[in-house]
Amino acid sequence: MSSFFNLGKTRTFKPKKDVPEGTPQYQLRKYAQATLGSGNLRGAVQLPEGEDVNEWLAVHIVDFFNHVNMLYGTITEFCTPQECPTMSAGPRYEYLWEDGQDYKRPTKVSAPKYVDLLMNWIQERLDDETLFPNKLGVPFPKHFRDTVRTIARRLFRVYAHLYTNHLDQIAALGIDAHLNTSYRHFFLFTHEFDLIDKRELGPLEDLNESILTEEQMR
Amino acid sequence: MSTPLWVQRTQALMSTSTASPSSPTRKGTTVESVNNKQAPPSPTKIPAPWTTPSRDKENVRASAPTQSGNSVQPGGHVSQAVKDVHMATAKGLSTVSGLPDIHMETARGTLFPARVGQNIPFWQKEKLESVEVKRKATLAQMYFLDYYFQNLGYLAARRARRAKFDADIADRQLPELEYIIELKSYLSRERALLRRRRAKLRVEHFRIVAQIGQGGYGEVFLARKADSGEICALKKMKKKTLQKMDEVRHVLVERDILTATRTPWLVALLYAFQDAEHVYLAMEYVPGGDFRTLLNNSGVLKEEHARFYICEMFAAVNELHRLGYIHRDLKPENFLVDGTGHVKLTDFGLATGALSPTRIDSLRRKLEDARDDEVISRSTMERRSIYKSIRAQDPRYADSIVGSPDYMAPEVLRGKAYTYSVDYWSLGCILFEFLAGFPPFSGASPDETWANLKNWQRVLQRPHYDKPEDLIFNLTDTAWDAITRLIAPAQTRISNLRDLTIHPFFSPAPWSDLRSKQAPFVPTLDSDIDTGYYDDFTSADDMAKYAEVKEKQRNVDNVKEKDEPGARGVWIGFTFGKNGLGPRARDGQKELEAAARAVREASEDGHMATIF
Repeated sequence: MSSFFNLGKTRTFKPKKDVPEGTPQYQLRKYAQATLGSGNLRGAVQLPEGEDVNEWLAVHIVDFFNHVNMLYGTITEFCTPQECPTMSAGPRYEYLWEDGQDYKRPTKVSAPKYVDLLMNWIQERLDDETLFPNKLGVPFPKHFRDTVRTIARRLFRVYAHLYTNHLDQIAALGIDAHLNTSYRHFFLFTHEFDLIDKRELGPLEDLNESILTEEQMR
Repeated sequence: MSTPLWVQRTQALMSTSTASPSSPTRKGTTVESVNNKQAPPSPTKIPAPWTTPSRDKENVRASAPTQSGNSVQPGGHVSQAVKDVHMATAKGLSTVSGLPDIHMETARGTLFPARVGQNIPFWQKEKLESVEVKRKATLAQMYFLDYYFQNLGYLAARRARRAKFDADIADRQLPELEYIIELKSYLSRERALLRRRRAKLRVEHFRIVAQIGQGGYGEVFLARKADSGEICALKKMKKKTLQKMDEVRHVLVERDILTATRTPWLVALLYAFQDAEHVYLAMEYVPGGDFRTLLNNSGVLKEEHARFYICEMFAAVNELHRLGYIHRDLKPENFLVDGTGHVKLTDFGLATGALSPTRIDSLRRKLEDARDDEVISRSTMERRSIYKSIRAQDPRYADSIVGSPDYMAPEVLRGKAYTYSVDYWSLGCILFEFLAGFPPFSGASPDETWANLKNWQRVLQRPHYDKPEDLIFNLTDTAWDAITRLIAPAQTRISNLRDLTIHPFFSPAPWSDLRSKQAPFVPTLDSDIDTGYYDDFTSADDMAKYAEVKEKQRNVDNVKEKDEPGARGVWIGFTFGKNGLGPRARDGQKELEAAARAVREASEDGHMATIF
C-alpha cells in the first residue's frame, strides 16, 4: 500500500528547516518550540487542568470553523460545480447532503454547494446563543458535545475535500503549509477528545496515522 | 483670527443666481447605467482538449479504479451505493442529526497524486495569477501566522498565569477551603477569557447614536461600542447590493488599505465584521464633517487657507500612493476635517487597480457621446451661480452610486492607461473649487459637464471678476499657475510630491510636519459624540438632500440579483480586529507579509511542510 505522498510515515509534517532567522515565521517556530516543547501541537490541544471541557471544545471548534472558512475560501475559484460536481474526498468517498429541512433526504449536490450548505449550517449553530452561549455564566446545553461532534465531522469533510481535490492549487498558492498545520491541529484536537469516529476519518487515514506516529516519536 | 476663514459669498453674487436648472436627466442616467449593466467578463477557459479539467482529473487519478462524476461510474451504481449507506455504513455515525449522509466504500487505495503541483491546467494557472485569488491566499497566510502567534501566546500566558497562581498559593499556605475558593475564582477567570475570545463581533455590540451619512450602498452611523465605550463611525453595507453593483472588490480594497496602515492622514479602521446580509467597517469617527458640507455651507476659501487644506490633501493622497493605490475618483466628499481641524482621507474603496469594466465603459461612452457644441461659454459669475443652484438642488450628488465625473482625469474617463498623477488632476480641480467657488468643468446639466470634460483644454479658464467688491475673488498668478500645472495633460502634469512642494504656491507650507501647524478652523465640539458637522438625519430638510441618493438605491434594489455562486467566498478574511487579524497584525503587517512570502517559497519543494 502506498503511503501518503510517497513519504515515509515519519517524514511527514516536518517543518522546513531553512527559515531565515529574524523573520516572523522563524520567530513563530522559536515561539512554538518554547511554548510547546518540540513544536508539537499535542500539548496545545490538551485540556488545561481545571478547565471546563465544553468551553475548550467551543473555542476550538469556532477556531477550526474559521480555519476551514479561510482555507476553502482561497480555492473557491477552483471548486466549481463543473470541476467538483459531487462532494468527494477521493474517488471512494462521496458525501450527500441532508439537513432535515431543505434537504429531507440525502441529496447529491456539487462540492461548492455542499460546502456552502455545510458552512452555513455550522454558522447557524455557532450563532445560536442557546447552543454556543456567549454571555458569561450561561451554561452549555446538555447535548453540547454531540453538536460539537457533528460539526467536527462535517468540518473534516471539507479538509478531506481540500486534500483530495485541491491540493495542487493550494500548493501553488503557497498555503499548503498552513493547511497542514491547521489539519494537524484539528486532527490532534478531535483525536484528543474523540470527536470523530474512525470510519469517518477514512479519506485521510494515511495522513492521520502519520500524524499520530510522528507524535509518538517526539 | 480676525478675518473669517470662509469668505462668505457676497449678496451681489447670490442675487445673480439663474433659475435653478432642473436635473431630471441625472436620475435617468443612473437608472440607465444600472440597467445597462453588463455582466463582467468572466475569466476565459481555454478549451484546448489536453487541458480540459475532466481529462486532467483522469490523469491525476490514473491509478484510481473508479471516478465518481465521470462516465466510468454508472448512475445506477451511485444510487445503489446510496442505499448501502442508508442500511449499512452510516447507521450510528451521526449523533445529533442522525443523517446518513455519507457514501463510502471500504477499500482503500492511493488517494493522492504522487506529486503535487504538476497537474495544474492552464485555466487554473491563469486564475492562480489573478488579483482576487492571490489576495485571498495572502490573507489566508497572514491569518494563519497571526492565529498561531495569538494561539501560542494564549497558551504561554495561560501557563504563566497558572504557575503564578500555584506559586502564590504555595507561599500563602492557604487552608483547604480557601484554596478551593481561590482556585475556583482563578478558573472562572480563565473560563471568562476563553468565552470572550470566542465571542464574535456583532452589530448588536454597538449602540447607534445617530446616522451621519447615506451612500449608495448603505448608511454610516455614529456608534459606541457597548463594552469598551469606543466611539466610531460604523459603515454598514448590504452584501447583495455590493455584489449586484460589482463593488465587492472596492470594499475589500478599502478594508485592505485600512488594515495595512496606520497614519493620521487616513481614517483608521477599528473593526471589520459581517453578518449574513451586511458587512461593517467600524472606523475612527472624524467629527468635523466632510469638505462637501463645508463648501456647501461656505464659499470661496482664502488662498492661505486653501493652501493649508490642499497641501494636507496632497499629503493624505500621498499615503495612499505609498501603499501602491491610486484613488482615481477624489472629490471633496472624500476628505474629512478631524477634531483638530486637520484633514483625513476616507472612502478609498475605488482605489483599486481597475475600475469595474462596466463603469469604465459607461464613462467612456458618455464622454464619446458628449457633443462639442454643448460647450457653452459662460462668465465666471454665471458658472458660479449655476453651480450653487445645482448644489442647492442636489447637495449630495456624489454620494449616490454613480457619482459625478467632475473631478476625474480625462485619461480615467477615456478608459486609457493612467498613473498616480490622475489623483493630482482631481486635487487640482478641488483647489480650483476652493478658490473659485465652483469646480472647473461643472455645467448647467450633466451633458454640459461631459462636453466640458471632453473639451477641457478649451473650457479651463481663469475665473475673472471685475466688480470692485468681487476683486478679492480673483486668483493670484501663483495659484493659477499651480492649478494649470495640475489640471494639465498627463505628460506635463505635476505628478509627485517632490515636484509639487517646490512649486511657489505649495512651497510655503511646512511640508516636514504639516499636522503641527495650527488649523485655520477647528470644529467646536460639545462632546465626543457631537454630530453637528454632519447632516441631521432626523430633520426633514436635511433628509431631502438625500432623496435622490435614496431613489438611486431603490433602483439598485430593483436590479435583478446576480446568481452568485461562491458568494460566501468573497467575504472571507474580511473580519478585522476581533476573530480576525488583530491590530497587532496590522502593526506587523509588513513582517507578516514577508513571512507569508517565506512560507510560500519554503514550501515549494516540500509539500507536507508546516509553518512551525
